[in-house]
Amino acid sequence: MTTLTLPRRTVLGACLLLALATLVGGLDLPAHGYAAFQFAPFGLVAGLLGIVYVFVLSNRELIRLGTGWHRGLLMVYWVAGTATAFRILLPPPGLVQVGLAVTTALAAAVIVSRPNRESAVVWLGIVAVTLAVMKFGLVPLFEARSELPDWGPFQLGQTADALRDLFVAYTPQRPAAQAIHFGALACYTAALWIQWRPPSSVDGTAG
Amino acid sequence: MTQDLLNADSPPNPIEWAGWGLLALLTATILALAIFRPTDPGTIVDEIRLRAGFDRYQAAMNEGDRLLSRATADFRLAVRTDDDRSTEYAMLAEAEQRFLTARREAEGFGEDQRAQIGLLDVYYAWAQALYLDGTGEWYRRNDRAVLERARDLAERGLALPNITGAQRGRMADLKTRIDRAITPWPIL
Repeated sequence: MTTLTLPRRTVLGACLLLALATLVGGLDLPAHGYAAFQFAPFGLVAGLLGIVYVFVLSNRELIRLGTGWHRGLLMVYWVAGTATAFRILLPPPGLVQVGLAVTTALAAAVIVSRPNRESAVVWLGIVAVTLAVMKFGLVPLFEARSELPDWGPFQLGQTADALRDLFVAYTPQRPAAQAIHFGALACYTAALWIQWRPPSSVDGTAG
Repeated sequence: MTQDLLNADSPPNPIEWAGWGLLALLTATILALAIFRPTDPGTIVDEIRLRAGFDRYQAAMNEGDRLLSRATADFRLAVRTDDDRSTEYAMLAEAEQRFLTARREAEGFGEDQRAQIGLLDVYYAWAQALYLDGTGEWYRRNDRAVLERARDLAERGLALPNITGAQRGRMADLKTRIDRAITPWPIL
């Protein structure tokens, strides 16, 4: 593998976009409760998925980590940005999240086996869209259609809530949350895009 | 690409330095948000004032008032009486701590009395919510432990030295209701 060097400004631009994605993507706007906003950075599951995907994406050359101190810096920001993207896309804790997290980890094997960058990036998009549909389409629908009433001493509502939380502990957010999370994913995509062009190798030839 | 390679070796210009500064600022903001977990723009200013020791009384009063009003609003909005109120109770516990801080920082009788009135409002809202939690439908037995906790809060409110007579009367009424719920037939 040829050692590649990244222009310093490209490194800076990618880091800025990833930091912005981490900042904006960590914000939640709860629909209930006293918090006007909450900053909830990625947890262990999203963090590990971030590490796995950064390895896969750098292996397929979707992201370029460069050399020297650029490499360490970019690795930190790419892991944080990727983990934040998974934090946005994975549903809240519950059995649904377990299933999707495992499937997403397995999907990394599909991406790493793609023959070229274009195919790999399309598969990355498929993973993202699938997770988004599950979280923003299916989970709210499930939440809205799975209520039961309380009939006097028969607390069916409480039982339904407990059962529902086993599958997904859904916490509704204000509509603006989707817009800011989309902004975070757009920043992540822009970071992918600005370093898409192959950089030069250390001997000065284009890679 | 050639320009980029030239840039890679040349010293950073002022715009690039500004970019690195912005990156440091964004990173520091992310770390600060992750550590301090603010939940409101006003909270950030008040937390800074509290930690810096600048006008701590007013900052604590603002935070206490904010948390109390949020909790009260949530209680009013609750549709089902059996909803989990743990978030609101946590808010009230935090508001209590803020008003206690305000009392410690108060200078003079007026400021101390304002903090005590805030505390009384917290205890009243908290005890009333616990009273509602502890007294369910007619076919359910009252929850004695919850009601005793409510009575304890009411007694803490009544023990405040500088509240007005009307406020004391309101709290005393609530305590009477709680007492009756704990012991429905006091003569026995």
